[in-house]
Amino acid sequence: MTDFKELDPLLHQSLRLAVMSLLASVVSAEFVYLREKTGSTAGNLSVQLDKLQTAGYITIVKDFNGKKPRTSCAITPVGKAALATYVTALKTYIQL
Amino acid sequence: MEKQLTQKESLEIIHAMVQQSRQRVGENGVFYLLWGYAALIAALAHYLLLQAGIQNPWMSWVLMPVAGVLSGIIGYRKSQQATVLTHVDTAMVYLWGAFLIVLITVLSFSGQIGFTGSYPVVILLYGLGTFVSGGILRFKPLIFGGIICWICGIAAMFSAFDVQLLLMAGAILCGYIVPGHLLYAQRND
Repeated sequence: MTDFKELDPLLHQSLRLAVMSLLASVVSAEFVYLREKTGSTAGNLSVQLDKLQTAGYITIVKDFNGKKPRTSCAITPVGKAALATYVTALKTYIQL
Repeated sequence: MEKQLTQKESLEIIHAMVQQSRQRVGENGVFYLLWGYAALIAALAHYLLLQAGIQNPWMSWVLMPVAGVLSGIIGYRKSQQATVLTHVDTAMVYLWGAFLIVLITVLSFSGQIGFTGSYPVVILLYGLGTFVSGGILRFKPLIFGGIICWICGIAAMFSAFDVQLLLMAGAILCGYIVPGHLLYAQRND
């Protein structure tokens, strides 16, 4: 089994990686969009989003769309760089 | 304890999510149809009123602000319902915003350059809008439509005003209505 210790542990988790991959290809996405596309539960998604925000990989903005609360997420330059590094590392593993 | 991912699984997740975020471009079709039909009716009505010798035949263009308000309402509703903002959305807002500013400027000052001089510019501008949006949406009928608009625009520079109106109608048909229908047909894909 290949050793994964050089891969960013924050990104090396299925839901967080899925969220980062989605956010990397859009300007911003709402919580419901991320939940629908990743097929995750609201609780788990919420926990993973918090972890990504704490690391500075994403920003989370909470506001209202009319009377409905809305949570929008966007990837930060730090997050983009981390994802690029992760993908580069992944490529080197696959080439080995 | 979280399940350890293999590199294959990681790549599969990235690939699946990038596929998931692909834009459904067909939803843009309604705007081309709205603007296209309004402009086509206005151009043809202008031509017919002109031929009939009716005063102020250009009044037919009053349809355009109506289409503008309608597309503004549709666009606002769509943005309120959307749960994601893509780079394509942002690029389209800037493109059509710039298009509108140039269009209004040319039409506002058409007294300075004359209607005969300004309509070919408007046709060329129609071509710019469709060509660039075709590139953004990666939709070839819009790109071809844009090129046809430019050919009509160049031909209009050498034509009398009434023929310019027919060239404008042809440009709208090829640049907006035909690609608009093709795009609209893809909205549920």
